[in-house]
Amino acid sequence: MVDCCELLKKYDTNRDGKIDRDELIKAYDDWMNGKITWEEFQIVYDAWMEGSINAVCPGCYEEQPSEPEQPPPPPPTPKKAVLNISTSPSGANVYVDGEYKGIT
Amino acid sequence: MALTVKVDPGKHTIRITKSGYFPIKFDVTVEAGETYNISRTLIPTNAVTIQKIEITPSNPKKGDKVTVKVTVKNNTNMTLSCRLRVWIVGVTIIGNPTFSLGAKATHTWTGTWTADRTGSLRLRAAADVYVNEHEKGAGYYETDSTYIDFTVSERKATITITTTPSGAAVYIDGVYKGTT
Repeated sequence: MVDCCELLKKYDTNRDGKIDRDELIKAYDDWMNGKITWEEFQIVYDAWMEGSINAVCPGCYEEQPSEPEQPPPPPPTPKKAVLNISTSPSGANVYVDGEYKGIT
Repeated sequence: MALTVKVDPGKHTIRITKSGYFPIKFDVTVEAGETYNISRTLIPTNAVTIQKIEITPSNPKKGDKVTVKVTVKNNTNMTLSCRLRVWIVGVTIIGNPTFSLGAKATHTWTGTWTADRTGSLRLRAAADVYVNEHEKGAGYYETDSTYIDFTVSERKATITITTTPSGAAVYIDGVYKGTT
């Protein structure tokens, strides 16, 4: 007889730690076709009834750690405008909104 | 050489200064992602200078019609809007003409004044240039000034005295004046 955990994981195809109805039907078909034994089908059946793999085979299903919560994306920075400032003669100080920006 | 500045969209105030030139200030409104090429020609603080100031006659008498001539020169390579202010300190304004002065050009302005008083007087002249975006506001700003001092004297009558025979001593109000 196969290990209960290996068996239940085989039929828990969506990896949610439970045997769903479709998964139970697959196990039933396999028993009907001689792929698994009656005892093995009973294990799958019990897991379906209990609604949990671990209820039948403790510690078999390990819940996958959830993805760490990502910080919200920063708000989009407003696109800037570009000022090309030139003077004649050059060498002048330029202030924008009172803030010194450089020399032409 | 151009200075490149990135700014947020909206309205911004740009101020430009350079020693020896009038400071300017102006607003621009920009949109995100756009590039704006801004070019300005600065006006020197000595853009227009007074080359000559003279009065004719140089020693006027009371009642004389005095002619005042002031010559100014544009020291820049651009055409400027100019104003001349000419006045006798504490007495009267002789004129404040405005005119356009081409690049490197000179201009002589002539005014008149009738000497209505005697005494020591000062004739002043100031040259201004119009600065459209001056940081203190658009207007005329002084670029040069000068003055000359002169005296207006009392106009005197002339007495011609002859005697026969000649060689007589002449006194006026008790003061010896000479011989005929």
